Amino acid sequence: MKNFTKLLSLLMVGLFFLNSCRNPAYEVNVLFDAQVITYKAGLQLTDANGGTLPSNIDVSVTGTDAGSIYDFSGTKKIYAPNGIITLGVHPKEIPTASKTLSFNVIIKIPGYEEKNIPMTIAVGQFNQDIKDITMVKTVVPTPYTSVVVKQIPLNPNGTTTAPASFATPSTGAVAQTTSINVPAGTGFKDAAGNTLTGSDVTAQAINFDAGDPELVSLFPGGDLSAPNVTFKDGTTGEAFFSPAGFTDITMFVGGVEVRNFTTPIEVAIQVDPNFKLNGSATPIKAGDVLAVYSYQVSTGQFKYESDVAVIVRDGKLTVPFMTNHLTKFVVGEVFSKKGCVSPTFKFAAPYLGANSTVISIEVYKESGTKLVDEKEFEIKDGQSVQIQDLPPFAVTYVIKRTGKVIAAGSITDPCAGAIATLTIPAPDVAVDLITLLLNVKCPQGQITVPGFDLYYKVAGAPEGDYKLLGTVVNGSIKTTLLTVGKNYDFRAFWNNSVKTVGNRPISASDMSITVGENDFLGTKSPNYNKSLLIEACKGI
Amino acid sequence: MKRTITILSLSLLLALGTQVNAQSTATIDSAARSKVTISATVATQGVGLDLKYAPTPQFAVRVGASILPISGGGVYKVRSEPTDVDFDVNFANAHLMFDWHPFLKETGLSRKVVVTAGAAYFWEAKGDVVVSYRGTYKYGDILIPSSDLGQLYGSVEWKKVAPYLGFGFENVFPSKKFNVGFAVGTYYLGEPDATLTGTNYLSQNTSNQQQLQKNMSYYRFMPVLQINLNFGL
Repeated sequence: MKNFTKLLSLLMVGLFFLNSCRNPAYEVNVLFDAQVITYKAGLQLTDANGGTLPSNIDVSVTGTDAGSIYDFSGTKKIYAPNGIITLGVHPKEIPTASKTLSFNVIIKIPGYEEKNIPMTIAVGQFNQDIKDITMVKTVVPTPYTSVVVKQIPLNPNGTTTAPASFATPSTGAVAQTTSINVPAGTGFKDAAGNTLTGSDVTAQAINFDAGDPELVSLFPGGDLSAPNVTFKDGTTGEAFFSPAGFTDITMFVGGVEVRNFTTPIEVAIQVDPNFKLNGSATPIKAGDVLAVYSYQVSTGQFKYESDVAVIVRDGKLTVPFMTNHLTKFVVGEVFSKKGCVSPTFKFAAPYLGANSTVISIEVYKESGTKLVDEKEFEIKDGQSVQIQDLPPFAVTYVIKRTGKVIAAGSITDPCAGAIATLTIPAPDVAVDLITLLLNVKCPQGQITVPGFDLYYKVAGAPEGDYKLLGTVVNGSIKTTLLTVGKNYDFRAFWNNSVKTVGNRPISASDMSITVGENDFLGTKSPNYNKSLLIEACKGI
Repeated sequence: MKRTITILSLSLLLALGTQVNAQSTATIDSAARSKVTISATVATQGVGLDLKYAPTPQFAVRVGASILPISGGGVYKVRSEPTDVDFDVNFANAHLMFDWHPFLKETGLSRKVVVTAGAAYFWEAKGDVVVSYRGTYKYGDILIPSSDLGQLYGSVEWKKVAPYLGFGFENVFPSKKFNVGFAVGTYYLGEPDATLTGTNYLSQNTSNQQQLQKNMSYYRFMPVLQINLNFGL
């Protein structure tokens, strides 16, 4: 029996020590939520001529709440890979019910007009519309602009030797012109008031086609609505512009930008002959009065200059005025939006399930003939978005999905803060509910992928066909814009990186994938992919 | 936990020594022995009380209860940053055991062998852990202090009813009212349910729950090393 006792003892002691041999934390990797930024806003820069923007895009943020604004990747430096700017709000400085964040995005690209985009982010506006900003080269005409460059000789004291006149050309794309008349003896001063001297002054003017729908994205600030406008009565506030003419005049003496003149010069802007004053059924005519406003890109401020009666000059409706400073000039109607509360659309789209789609909203005045605002949103069923930048008068709107009109309506008073439910109908052909999920393994363990915007196009389609698919959150995006059985090209933007995945088949509704440094990382650029992974893993 | 096991092991050796000495010097006949014994137990599953009734020297039935409330914590390294880990373990059971002395006719240590089988009802059989990351999480240029990172909550809960099997050493015929016994065995608790949830920036860790569940599936047995402080009534 002693042997039995020993055997029983060994058995029980062995069981005792063999039990619970696994560390409870074995392969449990603490994951930090990469969605640090919950409030985001985006801008998409495009070249007016359809060209490729250079890589040296300088983006900075100014204004009251600039300190709260970061690149979506979390860096204070704002990146614009391929012209895509994605901004985020510091998680400790998000907007509240009593505080809407206001800031300006300054965009500088050598050879292009500088842009100052005023932006606001209000509480609840987690994912704002993406502002389309069209960048215009200063000395190259586009389908929406005409350009003139003129050298004017100067006396040794820096004054003009003789009267000088020059005008933007009337082109097939832009029939209207802007002419500038500089009297003899005119002197030029810089921003500090210093008199500029040199052999000549280089003058250039860009005249915009005020009748082109593209003016919405060409206009200063990227919208016809502007938050910082000094009115005729000296007060400042938000306003909506209805431009009949728009021009940008710059002059340089010895490379220094001219801001003021010793003698006023005349600027004469031909107006869009189809322009209608608000409420009028007929186009503008001689004798109608338009307001002239100037715009300073450095401050983002519009300022009332004068009221001018439209005249006919050289057979064209023209607004002539005198000015002693240089800047951008807008002629047209300006509507104060003081106290304006933007409407909110709540989207009802049960067919989406938990997935998303992307829609565009086009807002018109004059019964759908004049585009006054255009926005693009990634939406989900039940999502609410505030439609900012609308005029303070009645408008109509159409909603498009993949270019097709799916809903339309009108807003009698866009400043009444109305909340409307908009039903987004299911497409005629049933959509596929696709989930793309990217898991990333690092040497330290699995990480959650930081958020980024993902664009797509049908495989092989032209570069310009890339469209927003949506924002990838925690490595996942659920969309209705892809179809099982088709191949797509995908492009992601994060930090200063652009990653394109070409000809990716969508073979199933769940397209989950896990990648690690030692996994298969594609055939086209595995080393680049690996470097992206290593960089991402450094952050954890 | 290691310190607890060490102390219990030393106690075991002491207990064994006590029993051997008792056996060699004191034995009474079966008619004079105590049929009812009350025992205070100190064991890996907690401290408790047992009441034993032995109608014959060979067989006995025991009922009792034990509790194990443990709280503690420590500082560990997660991603090279100190991390506070606080845990709270609670085991409490009422049990019914049957003892069998199969070798009473033997001499030496074998004579004291008691085989025990039974079951317990655990009204508490769970462990909770709270993990708080002390470091600063850096997302680009944005620094998230530990106070904002949130916490990770882990919870493991076993089934309520668990069978028990074990053996020990007890003197069936002690010469004194007080004696010491020893038992070793295990409860079979089955696979526990494990949950892992996080708050704030640790909310993505529910994906780790599956791994935790897998790890905790190894913890099906609750080993018992027990010292019985018996008092014959």
